[in-house]
Amino acid sequence: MKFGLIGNPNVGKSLIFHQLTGLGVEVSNYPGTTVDLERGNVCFEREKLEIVDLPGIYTLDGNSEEEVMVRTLLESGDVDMLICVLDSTHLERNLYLLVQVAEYRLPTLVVLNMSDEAEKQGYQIDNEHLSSLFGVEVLTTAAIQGRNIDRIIPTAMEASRIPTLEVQYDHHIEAAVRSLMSMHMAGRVDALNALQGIGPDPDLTESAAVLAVEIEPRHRMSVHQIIAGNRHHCAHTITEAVLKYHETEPGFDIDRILTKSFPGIPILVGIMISVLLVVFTFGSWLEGLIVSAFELYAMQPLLAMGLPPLLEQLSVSIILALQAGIGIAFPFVLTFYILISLLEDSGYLTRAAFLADRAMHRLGMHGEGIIPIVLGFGCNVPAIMSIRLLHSRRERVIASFLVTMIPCSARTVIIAGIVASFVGILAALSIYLAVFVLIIITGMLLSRITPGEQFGMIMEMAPLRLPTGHNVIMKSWNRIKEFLFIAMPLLIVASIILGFLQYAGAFEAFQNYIEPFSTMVLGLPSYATTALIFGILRKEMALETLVILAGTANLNSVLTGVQLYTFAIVSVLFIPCISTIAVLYKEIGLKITLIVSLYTLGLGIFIGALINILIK
Amino acid sequence: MKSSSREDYLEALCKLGGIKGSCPSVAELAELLEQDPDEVRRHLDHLAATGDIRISGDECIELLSPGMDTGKKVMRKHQILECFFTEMLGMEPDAASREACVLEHNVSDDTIDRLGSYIKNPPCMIDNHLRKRGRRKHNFETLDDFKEDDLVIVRKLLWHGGCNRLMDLGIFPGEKIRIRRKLNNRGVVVQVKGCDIALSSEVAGMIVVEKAP
Repeated sequence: MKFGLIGNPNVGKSLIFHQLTGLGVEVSNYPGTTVDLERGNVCFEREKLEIVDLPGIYTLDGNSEEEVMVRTLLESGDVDMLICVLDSTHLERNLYLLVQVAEYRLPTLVVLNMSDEAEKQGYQIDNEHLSSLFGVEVLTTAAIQGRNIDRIIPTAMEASRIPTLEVQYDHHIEAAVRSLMSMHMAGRVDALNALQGIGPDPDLTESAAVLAVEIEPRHRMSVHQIIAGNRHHCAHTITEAVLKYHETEPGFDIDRILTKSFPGIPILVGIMISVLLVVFTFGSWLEGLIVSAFELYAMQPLLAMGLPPLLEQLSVSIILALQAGIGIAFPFVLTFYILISLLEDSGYLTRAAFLADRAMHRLGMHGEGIIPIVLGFGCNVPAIMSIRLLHSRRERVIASFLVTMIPCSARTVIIAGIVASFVGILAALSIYLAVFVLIIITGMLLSRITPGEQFGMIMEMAPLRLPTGHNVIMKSWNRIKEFLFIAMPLLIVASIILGFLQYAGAFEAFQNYIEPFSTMVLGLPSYATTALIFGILRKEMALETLVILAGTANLNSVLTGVQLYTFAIVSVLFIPCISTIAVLYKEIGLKITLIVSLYTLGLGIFIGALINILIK
Repeated sequence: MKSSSREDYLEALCKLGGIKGSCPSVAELAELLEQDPDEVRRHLDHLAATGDIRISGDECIELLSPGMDTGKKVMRKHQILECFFTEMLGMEPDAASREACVLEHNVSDDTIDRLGSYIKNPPCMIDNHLRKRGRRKHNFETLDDFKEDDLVIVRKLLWHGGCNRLMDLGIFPGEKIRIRRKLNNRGVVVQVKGCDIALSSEVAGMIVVEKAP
């Protein structure tokens, strides 16, 4: 037996899901999509039931990846029963989805969640009337307090019924639906979907298209508009019938502060900077601990064992990869996830996106794009992982370019350790300035050439709530699991390959080969180029390797100021580190990862060469 | 028989079949085409000979698959052309239909496909300059012209292609919405069906509204 949890975004669906299933949730992609699907099991009367948490959607006839996925799932009959979670405080909007869900005629239980909030706001819902109108059982819950959550599964097992509600559509639509149903032996839902141009059967959509073109001019509206209008009307009539509202004293509206230009924008800047500072300071402190622990307890004992050279090299590679992965995963990624879950659950994230929309628009993204950009300063890895918050692939592509160019904390180490200490603080700041200008140019360029349409932002503001600690931790843990189990193996494999190359002497050969190029184009000695290559493993390793290869920590005794400056700016722009490449590959695919890597490589060399030519 | 009149006949038969749902009679066809039944019958015999239709008795003309394909194709061309003429060029429906009747025989499939997708998704005129110019001509007010706390009624969505998400959220002609917040950059937050929805300025500029009484 398989249950599907369905509902609008922000109705407490995931909270209910986690309360029902507890630990042991499995996150997987729905076949053929990148949409996350959480699955969990629950035991009822010695029977194992599977629960699937479907992504939050507003409608079943849309074209976004989530909407298509949920629709296909309902059509495929892969779920046996639906638990439709509604937000009692926004009943009418939620009923719009329920009206559509009801048309699929699957056994359904309606859960009116957030009843505590609704009571507080003076809403009263007549459950029995609602239940009789839809022909399904209705259960009132309050997931935050855990009220009635334990009754969901028993009620669903005993009393979920097939909905009987029929939406009255415009008579042209009804006629078209009837003729499609008789012509193609199609179901009512399939016919309605086909009229809106969606559905798997090309014959059906084709004949529906002919009918649709006939209907549309008469109404001066698209079929989708007509159907949506009828459904809204239906939802509205039902709401009028079942909802009673007592005027209550409106409390203080925090949005008066948060979404105004002033003080909203200073607050936004403050919050973003503090998120960055927390990730940065706490992260690098913890990273230092983890990295040195690895040095002390893994690397040194390993080197002391005196293994055969090949084995030693490969083991070192594995330890380096683990060191880089774990050194980033817990300090940066986990801290970030906890903070972002806090912002997300409290509803602040949508406000931040609203305020930042205009600025991000220039770079070809919407307001949500501010999150990856800000996080990029701490560490590119969580920043890349957060690009899934963005809605279109176009935005994700643009964000993946920009984020990989942002100077993360490791690159700050290089800028501080080389330029600030040997050349001067102004030179160090000029590197930041140059990188920002390049980021803005890249963003403006990409917003012109990246394929895909750019729609304006249409986003529901999540209501402000106090996040619960348990929920935040659960969410963060589920997300970091992905990093640990998907990005880490990639990291280890890549590191072993690099280690093997080093063992095989590829780097010496490379050094000889690159010598003329390195001195000609970048004006750098070849060992500095080798150090740059090591920067791919972990960015700050470029600095460490440079010191080792130069044979002195007093770098200005072997390299000139211009050389140091060039080295720093190239390593900042140069290919992202291997962990970033691993998550890029996971989030956005091989092609874009390659383009991003080549673009940053080219840009780094180009700028390095430019400085070399101009200043020399 | 000329290819254009063959197409006219097949189109008419398709239309009749679609309306009635059963096979049309010669008399009905003659009425629709405004032609003499005898002449119609003569043409039908010709079509039957080429394998486009089958005539069983006097009362039932059955379209065979080659005839059906041609008929549907021409009907679609007609509808798309007519829709373009009335909706986008603002022609009178009768004139638009007459014009479409002539053009439908000569227009290529590719043109029709492109025109069809153009009607569905006209290039978004998000550009402020264009929008302002359009506004002066039509003299309508959009959501971003109002102040905070104004109560307005949605009249029209100018954004043909991408407004499905707006409708899913309840921003729909006839719906009363309240402007909760407006930024200097004309981004707005509106309250629809009790929910707060943030819209960027381009989207707000696509929603034609008027002040609620």
